[in-house]
Amino acid sequence: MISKKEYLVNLGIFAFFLVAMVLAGKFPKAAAAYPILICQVGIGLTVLLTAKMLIRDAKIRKNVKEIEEIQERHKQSALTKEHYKNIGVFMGMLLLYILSIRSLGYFVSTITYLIVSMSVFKKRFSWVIVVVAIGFTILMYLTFDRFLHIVIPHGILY
Amino acid sequence: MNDVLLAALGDIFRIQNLLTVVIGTVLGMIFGALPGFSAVMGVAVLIPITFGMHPTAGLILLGGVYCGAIYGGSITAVLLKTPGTDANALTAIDGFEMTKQGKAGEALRESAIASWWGGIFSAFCLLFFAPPLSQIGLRFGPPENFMLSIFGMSIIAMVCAEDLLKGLISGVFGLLLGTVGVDPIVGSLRYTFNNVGLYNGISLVPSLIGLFSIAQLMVMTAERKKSIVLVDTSTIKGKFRWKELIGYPMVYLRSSIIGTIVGIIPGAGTTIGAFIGYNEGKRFSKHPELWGKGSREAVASSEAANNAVTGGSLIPTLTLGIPGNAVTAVLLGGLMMLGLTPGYTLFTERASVTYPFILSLFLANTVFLIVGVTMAHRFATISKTPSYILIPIISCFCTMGAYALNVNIIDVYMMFIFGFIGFIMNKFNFSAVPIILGMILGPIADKALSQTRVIAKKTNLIVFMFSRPICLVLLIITILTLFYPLLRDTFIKLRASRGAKGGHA
Repeated sequence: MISKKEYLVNLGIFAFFLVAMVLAGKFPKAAAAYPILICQVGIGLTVLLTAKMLIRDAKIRKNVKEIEEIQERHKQSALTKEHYKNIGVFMGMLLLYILSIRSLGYFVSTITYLIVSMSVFKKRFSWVIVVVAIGFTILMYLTFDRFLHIVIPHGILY
Repeated sequence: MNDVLLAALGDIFRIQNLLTVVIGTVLGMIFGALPGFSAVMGVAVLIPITFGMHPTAGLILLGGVYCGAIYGGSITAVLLKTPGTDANALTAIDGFEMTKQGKAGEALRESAIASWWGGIFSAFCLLFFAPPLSQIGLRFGPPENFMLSIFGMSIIAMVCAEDLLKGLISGVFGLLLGTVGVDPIVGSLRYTFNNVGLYNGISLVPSLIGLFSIAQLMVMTAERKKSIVLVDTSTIKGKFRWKELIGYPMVYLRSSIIGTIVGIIPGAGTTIGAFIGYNEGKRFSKHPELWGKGSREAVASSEAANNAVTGGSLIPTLTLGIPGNAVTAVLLGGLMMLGLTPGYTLFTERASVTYPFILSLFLANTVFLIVGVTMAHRFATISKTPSYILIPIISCFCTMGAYALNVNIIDVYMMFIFGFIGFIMNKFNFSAVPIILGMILGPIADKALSQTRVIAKKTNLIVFMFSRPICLVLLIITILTLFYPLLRDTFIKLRASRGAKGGHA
């Protein structure tokens, strides 16, 4: 197998459609027909994709050089541990922001999120960051709340 | 129609609408000029802002973003050989060669002028062809609507020609997501897991923001570049001369026609428009030998074509609800969120919204022409914005945008989850566009199929559907579209083998 991950993704998709189909089976008959049809098509397509990948792998299995080239390409395009760490840090901070926005309110959570995330990305704190964070938060408040009359989250600290 | 147009003209020249056009276009240019940020992302991020606006102003803003972003991508293509959007890939070849020759200013002006011609031509086509075409929709009943949705889904074959199976799987995934919520016929709940927030289904806009914006921010975070690109604008010289406006009239006309036609074909998109425009331009050029070496005519060819796609792609979107490309798929979502349904009513009952929107495209194109010929290079400096500022600010904007839709925190969680889904899909080469198509067209297909079942009574469903001529025509077009990648590959192979034989002879 040239890329196990690709097969695992296919397996995941297959399982997803299968579970969705089983769940759809519990709906009333008239409401179940359409999602069941979709799941069946999804399962069929996933099987086809896997078959296509197996045929592709079988064709190039004999050619060691080609396998090496593909594996090298995968390595080059693959994300390193450092990349995943960066993504994890970003998504972690974003999740904390999302979770805190309703309890802390728009202003406190947004300014804190912006200052912390900018400092983490820049790897050091600077007053420019504070100015940008406060300025952007106010600008967005004026745009959403005052100008467009779109309600923003109001927490205990506003 | 004249009265409607006159009223729309009055509407569009209201100060607030004029301002909206300018803001939308400039924001679009910024999104276009930032490599990695696409027109799709620009429209997706800004849809929530339109909720607080009048539908006319909301649509005008999105139209401006669309036009501005497609043009904006040419700025970094010319100056940095880094196309802001895929559609500007060919502009990067000759545009950057011109920059190396010290003609950056000339190239930037040409891209603005050619884009303007393309945009204006296609906006005219939209204005005059869309209303009569929308009347076709009046003949559509539930079976036709079902087939139309299936045809809409077949666009996946064009959008994901590289890997059709993966595209189809994404589309089916989108269709399944479209079934979440209350069933349209019997009213029972599907996949809601007793969560009230899911009773109305999965909101489109947070999903869009997650799939296109958060996923892209994750990619950018991974690399943590200091800024997206480094720009040297010191080489930009020269002033705009009026005669430059008609520098290549035949090129503008040819590429505009090509771009508009390509735009009308669902799924073909700005990139294909630019490629065909460039190719045909070279074929008809008196100096094809200069193409690829810094030809101003080449820049004009690709830019006029890719901007002509904007108006063209809106024709099927507004008349039939079939998006012409990824951006209009997202725009269609925005249209529906604003309470507007594509089709005949858009040009009759909702004409007061639709016509000002169409007319605003003329203004949007003119705005980027003025900005482009006078200060395009200033937009290139946007790419210098440090990513440590850009990423948190845009993620914050996305969060507020997702929340603003229903003032519901579940939408923000959805955005977050879809961000992950988009990132994984991107990593394994699954396109996110089919998901959106599935989510938009799925519920329409679901309802139409259920209604068709009721109408057909005891007649076999397939026999009933294909005894109707429009369904049959749509089926044929769907099959042709699905087999497009195969037909294209066969055609290329045939041409290559003929070329090889010719070479041997």
